[in-house]
Amino acid sequence: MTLNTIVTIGAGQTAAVAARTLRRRGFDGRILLVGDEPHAPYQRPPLSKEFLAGQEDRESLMLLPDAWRDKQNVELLTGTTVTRIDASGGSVELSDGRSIAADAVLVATGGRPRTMPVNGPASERVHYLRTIDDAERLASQLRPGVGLVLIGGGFVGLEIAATAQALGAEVTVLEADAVPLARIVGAEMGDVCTRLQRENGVTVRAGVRVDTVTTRPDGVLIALDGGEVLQADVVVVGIGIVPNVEVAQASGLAVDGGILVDAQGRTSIPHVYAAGDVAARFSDAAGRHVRVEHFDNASKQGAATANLMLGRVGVVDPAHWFWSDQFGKNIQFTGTARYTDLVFRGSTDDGEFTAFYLDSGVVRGAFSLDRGDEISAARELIGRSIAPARLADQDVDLFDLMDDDEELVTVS
Amino acid sequence: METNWTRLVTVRELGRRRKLRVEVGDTAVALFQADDRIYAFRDLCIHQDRSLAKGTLLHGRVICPGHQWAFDLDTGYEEDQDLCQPTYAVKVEDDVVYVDLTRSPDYAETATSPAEVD
Repeated sequence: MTLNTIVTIGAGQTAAVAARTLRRRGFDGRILLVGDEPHAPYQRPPLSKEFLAGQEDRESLMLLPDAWRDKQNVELLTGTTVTRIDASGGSVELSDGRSIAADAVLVATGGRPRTMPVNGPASERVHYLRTIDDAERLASQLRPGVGLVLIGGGFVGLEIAATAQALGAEVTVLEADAVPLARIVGAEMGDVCTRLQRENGVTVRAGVRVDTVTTRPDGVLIALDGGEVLQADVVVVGIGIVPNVEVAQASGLAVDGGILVDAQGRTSIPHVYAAGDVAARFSDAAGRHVRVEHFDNASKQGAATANLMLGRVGVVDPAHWFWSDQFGKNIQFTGTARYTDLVFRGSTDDGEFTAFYLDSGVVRGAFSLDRGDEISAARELIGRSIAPARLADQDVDLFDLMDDDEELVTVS
Repeated sequence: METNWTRLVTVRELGRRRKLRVEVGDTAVALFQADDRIYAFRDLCIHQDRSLAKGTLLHGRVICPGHQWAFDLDTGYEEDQDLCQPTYAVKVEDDVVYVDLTRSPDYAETATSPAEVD
């Protein structure tokens, strides 16, 4: 089939990378990005960090600047929702009633914040953070002395906490689990991240469940399970995202906690692909469908599906990687926190170290504090059997350990 | 062509780590050695000013420790970001490394710039 028109549903990181990749690979047909936000594609990672802190402006977030889109002839439709893909008819249907021809479609609708019920008249005091508009609204309320309560101690929540604390707010983080981030990086590294917050003046309360949130003209009341009531000027709810699967469901795509796609990004319907936060991709390494909500995953899948549309098939199953910047410290993580042993290179007391997650002697992942260079090496070591004493020995170059592996256990 | 070669270090001083940060006037330069060739980059990453000299050399690229941006050693090009880190001309004479901050490396000038293809 000749590809004349490629449409992306969604205009975030995934769609932007796909468009860039298509042009770079020489695709000269029509590319149309349809996004429901009023903005051109932009980077989300700074929204909880530099942008929230006022150190970056809207322009610096733009992924595909106007001049680039003009030159590359990439079309953009903002403020528009796709209601349905008509795969057999080769078109997508828009919320304004129009129908647009499409030979291939990339569903990259991302997710939206999971919400919780909020009572009372001052809903503007309760925030979620996903979009540039969310970040600007929140930033306008962060001032020295403002009492901020974050409901949810995930990475985005902790980044907001760090930014707000640095702006002079009085910050409290409420986390339902016993240790923040334990499900992502394990309890020990979750403790390290929690300590970083506390050392910088944030109050972190773990194992705490929120019962109700009630706004008043002059503040917000947060009632906890057990009866205690906290007061805040501003509340941010950061309890995860819900994948935007509506258009997939309306179009008959297989959906199960995300749009099901194969290892390359194909959905259950020919010429329709899905990538990024919304896609549950089959991972050979995991042996099941995995939905990942990281920037790096969005970029890699966006590129992979663009290549696939052009007939370049490649299995993309890289180790997960993400970073977080808090209080001037750079946290990076790769792989999975499935482990029987944690091997330290450097010490948590030194303010910089790398911890390797080993599962029965095999490196499965790594967590670093201000040692991103070791994460580059750790990515290459995942799946290999490396002696813990060698990993821990800081006189040994990690790259030399690539020759150490007695066996390559999995290819990742 | 007028040149502005500045003597930096000896190849020996670049040493076993194959990475070194050197100040040239107001500019911090990161030197890298890979496959017996020496490369000079602006040290502060175009992304968020982390020091590339603290990064990692891998598969013909230097990887920034801050956020894993990976720059091609020959061109300074970061493919995922579609951006270039400034690179400088290097020459080695009598085991001494010289850099010219006013010029790009020859291979970056003569190669078809990926940025221009895009």
